[in-house]
Amino acid sequence: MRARTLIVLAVCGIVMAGSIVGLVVTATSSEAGPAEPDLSVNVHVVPEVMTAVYKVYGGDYPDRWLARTSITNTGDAAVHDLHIEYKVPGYVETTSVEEYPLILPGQTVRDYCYPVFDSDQMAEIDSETTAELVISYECDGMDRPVSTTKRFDFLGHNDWIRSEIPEDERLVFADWGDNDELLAAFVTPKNADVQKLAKQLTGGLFTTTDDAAMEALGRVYYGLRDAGYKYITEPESYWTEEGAQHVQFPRETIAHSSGNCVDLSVLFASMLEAVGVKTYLTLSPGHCQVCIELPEEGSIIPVEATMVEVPESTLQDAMDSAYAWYEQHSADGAYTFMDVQQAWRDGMVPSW
Amino acid sequence: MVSSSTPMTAESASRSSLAVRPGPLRRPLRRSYAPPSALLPVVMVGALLLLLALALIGPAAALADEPADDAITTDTYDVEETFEIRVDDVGNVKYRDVLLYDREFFDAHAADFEEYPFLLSRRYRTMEDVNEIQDFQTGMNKEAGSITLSFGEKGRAYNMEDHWIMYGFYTEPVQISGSDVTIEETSTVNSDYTLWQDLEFRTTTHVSLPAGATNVRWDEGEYALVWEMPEQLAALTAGGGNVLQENRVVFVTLFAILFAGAGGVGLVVLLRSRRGPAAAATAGSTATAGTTAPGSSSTATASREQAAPTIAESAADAPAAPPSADAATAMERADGEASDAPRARFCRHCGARFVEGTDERFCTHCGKEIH
Repeated sequence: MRARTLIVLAVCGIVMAGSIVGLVVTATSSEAGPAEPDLSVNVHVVPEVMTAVYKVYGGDYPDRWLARTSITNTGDAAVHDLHIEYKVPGYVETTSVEEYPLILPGQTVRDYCYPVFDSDQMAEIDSETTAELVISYECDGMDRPVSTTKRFDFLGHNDWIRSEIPEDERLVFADWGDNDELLAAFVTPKNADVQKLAKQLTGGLFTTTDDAAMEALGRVYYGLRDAGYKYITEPESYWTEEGAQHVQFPRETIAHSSGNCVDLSVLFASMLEAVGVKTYLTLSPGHCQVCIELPEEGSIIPVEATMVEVPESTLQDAMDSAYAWYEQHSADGAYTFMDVQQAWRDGMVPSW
Repeated sequence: MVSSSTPMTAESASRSSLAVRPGPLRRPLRRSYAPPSALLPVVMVGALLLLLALALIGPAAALADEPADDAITTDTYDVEETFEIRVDDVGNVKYRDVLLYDREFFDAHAADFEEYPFLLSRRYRTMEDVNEIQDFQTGMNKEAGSITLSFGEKGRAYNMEDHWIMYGFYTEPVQISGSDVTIEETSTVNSDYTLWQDLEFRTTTHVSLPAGATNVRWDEGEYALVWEMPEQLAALTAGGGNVLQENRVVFVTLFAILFAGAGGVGLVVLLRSRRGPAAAATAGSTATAGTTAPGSSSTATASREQAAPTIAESAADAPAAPPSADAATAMERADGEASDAPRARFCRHCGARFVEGTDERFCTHCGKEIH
């Protein structure tokens, strides 16, 4: 047999052997599925949900989430199509499912849970109530979703935690009011009871002028005074070390015809906002007041809402008292303003 | 039904009014809250009480309009902030934030930061608790009058497969050069870092995206920086994907064709390489059959006769050209009968058959000596 023939035959043999190897490798490869995902998952749930501001958790406010999940791809292969879903059984059956198409080795994904709670359910929570959050995630290569459960507490719907700064790190007055902006959620101008009372007292007013705004303020003040609204003190000290407070919603203050300085100021703000007057709430040591902004002049008028319990008091008395308080506390910085409408724009929308 | 028994109008009231600053400002990664400044102007309205009101409120108004000796105003102090953000290939970020204070402010308040170090860290501690940031460090340079914050943040940017996105950039960049982005902002900040005084921040943010970032842009709607990493994506496809698996049908077909083709070519070459001697052998056997086994099938005769040397002869004595494929097949069929047939041999020169046991010395076909 010629050498050339032998070479050709050898080449053919090599090609055939290579083809067999290729077929085997291809067949073996086809039997292997996607690489097993190797994920490190860390879930953090806020220990206490302020039910009074439940809408804040479902909004876009970046610092107000119910849970945060951190997922790191600790494997060597990319993770594809990761889905994360949250449930609060009995309260929120599902949240929008977040999808992450690709997580590279070493990459971390942070996902946040912004649940939309039901208003009726939240209104029924009078005291601290424990609930569970179920977090489920799944990606390509997993046979089924992986779930984990964390517990948290709903606070009563009147509870307001004023500051979350550790007590030993509160240096100035503002530190005690780290959550003051949340008070705007208690201002509910669209509540039916608020609307009814506000319109009864200020019906026919167009509050686009300074005079009309002052007229509205006067009618609200005298209306509540003449209705016998009472100032009541907090059962427990308002300025507890925990910085917490029981705050009535305006409908509750109307129902009880009474409230403390916060409750009455919130009621004033709600009724005046209901008729188009811009308001502020001011906080100072042991006290809360309400202010209105005159639409034309732009001036801010403070009012001592608690003076409605004094039968012979006048609006002038209430304004003078408020201003005196302002002078007393503003000099040392212990007097802060909370712009209600700005807070709403920041996501602290009225709860009811 | 409640009613207002004593209406109050703007004309009849002496109002003590205050002025407040705008609401909170939003800054990425920093909660800032801007309550109103401490002392505010007073406006007096009301004809009957004008003089009295002015007498009462005048001092306060003066305080509001002109800061006290030890007060600090926005006009006097400011902060030059340089914010460096380095983004790695997987969306993790390293920050370095340098706050260069007005010299006078720093000299007056540096001791506060030293006495209460939590002022620089407490806003970040909760973020550390949930691993949003890591390795938070603070430093103070008294000579320069600056404070430096540094920390890392994992998962700052999100991989959307065909692009990356990093949220929280509310101002359009002034420059995008390759993978570097520069943003300039001014804001009034009243926070831990200003000791609750309104200071004007002039912030320059430098964002260094990964070296392979292309098509870097600012998404105004998302307030985000967006970029692409084509090389990373290509490497992922080449290295991470299973090409054989994804194209299984193609590769199976290809290998099968290669196998069949190589086999076919090899067979053809093998047959052609043997065609010459085999043809001669076939011709010889046919001729011999015609003379030595009259009346028998040439094929059958050849089969029987050619089977014998395959079995009986040594390699050295084997004919130069083996039997053809057809002959071999026939040989196998006739294998049982071959043992009874006369043993045949072939001329080593031309391959012609001769029957062993004959006395012929020379090949009847080529005439050469048989042995």
